[in-house]
Amino acid sequence: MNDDYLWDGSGTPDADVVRLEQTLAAHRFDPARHPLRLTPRRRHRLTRYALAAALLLAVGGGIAGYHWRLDWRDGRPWPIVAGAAGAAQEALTVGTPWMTGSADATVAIARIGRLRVGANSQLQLQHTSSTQHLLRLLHGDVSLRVFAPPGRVQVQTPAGTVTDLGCAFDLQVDERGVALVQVRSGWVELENARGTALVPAGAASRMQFDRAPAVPVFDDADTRFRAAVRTIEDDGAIGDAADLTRARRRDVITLLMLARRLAGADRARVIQQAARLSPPPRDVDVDAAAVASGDDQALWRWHDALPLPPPKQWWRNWRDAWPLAP
Amino acid sequence: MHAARRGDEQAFTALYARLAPYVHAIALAGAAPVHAPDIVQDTFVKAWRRLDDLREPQAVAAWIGAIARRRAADVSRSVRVEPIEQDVPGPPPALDAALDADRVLQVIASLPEAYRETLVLRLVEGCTGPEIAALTGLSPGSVRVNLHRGMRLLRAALGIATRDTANTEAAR
Repeated sequence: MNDDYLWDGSGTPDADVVRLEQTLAAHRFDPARHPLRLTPRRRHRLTRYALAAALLLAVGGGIAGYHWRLDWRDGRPWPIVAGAAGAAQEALTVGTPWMTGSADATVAIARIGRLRVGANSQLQLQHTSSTQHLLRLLHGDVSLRVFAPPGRVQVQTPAGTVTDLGCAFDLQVDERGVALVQVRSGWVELENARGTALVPAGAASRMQFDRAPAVPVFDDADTRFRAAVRTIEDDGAIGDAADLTRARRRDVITLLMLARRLAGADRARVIQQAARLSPPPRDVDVDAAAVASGDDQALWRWHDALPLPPPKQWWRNWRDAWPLAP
Repeated sequence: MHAARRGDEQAFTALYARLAPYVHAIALAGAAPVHAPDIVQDTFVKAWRRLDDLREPQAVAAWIGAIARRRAADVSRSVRVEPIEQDVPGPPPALDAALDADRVLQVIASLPEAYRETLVLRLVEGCTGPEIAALTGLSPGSVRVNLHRGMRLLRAALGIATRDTANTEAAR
């Protein structure tokens, strides 16, 4: 068969091809009947390069800024940025005791935060460097606002050490040397020779040198519940536990920490109350009965599964990076 | 082409006028006819936005063709395709019976991939063999072979082969 017509339309028309052409002609595309609708073209490649460059700059700037924020020459004084009117010094220097007058003062904690020192407070900067800042508060009150990885800032008190875990908190040391801590964001760790306590945002604790730091209790907890917890801590046993039933689901952390201080039937009663309010999640290997009978490892797994931000995720408190007075 | 790459809309529209039938043929070969105009539009809009990605301006037809094939495949996947109805057993219908254009396109779409676009370019868009070779980048010889074999398969599928063979026999 001659294919010329099929090839280029020359030669004798092939009747079948002609018929197919006629049949399919309705589908022939006419660009004039379908005008192209274009929108102004963006320079995509340029945009991509610009975005990539901006991203690199942002990442590079973020890394550089992070290191700059943490960097602090050993022993470099902390500038006093506000208050302390009439004070002879303009900075908090290592080893020099400082007693504030009748007014508050604000001090820069290297580059990582702010320290507000209340009137008539006595403190001393013990050590400062890129990796560690150590302050000693003998009495008075301070507020710290720190945005840095956990453990960079520690405050020694007569009752024990308060360690910042990426947070903001108020600390008061009274004339007897008892330390009271109120956490406003993140977590704080209290530690002395008798034990430790992790205190989350919204909770408070106290510490004195001859006993373990108190279990954290939320500021908005029921008053009678708070009193009951302190009484049980002081007595080391449960008397009338009726007020423990005033705990809310949020107070389970308090109950768990309280249970650690108890044994036997007392511990079991507190754990039962905690399990009623917030049983261990099913995906967490915790047996409430084992916790009640003394399994502290299981208790900590339960504690870690509570719906609270983990202590190590300090960056969640990014608002504390703002250079505002605490 | 260079003007189009600089953002000259008029130059790109001229390119559209030249290549739209080719893109339309790809759309018809890969998806239902009802979607073909949209595939053409989408293909050129995408090409317009991504002109900076075209490294060899002389390969613009192949580049746009590749965009069109991907778009047609996407459309085809997203639309449930009705299987071609099986012919009722018996003698194949004669070509003289009214040919349904959609049915012919369905049959073409069922042919091997190598023949589909070539046949649509020839029978629908009215391109000649040399024009098809220029658009697709195939050699004229390959296009001729594809046309010949594709047409033979199409005739067979449509039942034209029987009559063609009969005519040949009658001529003898």
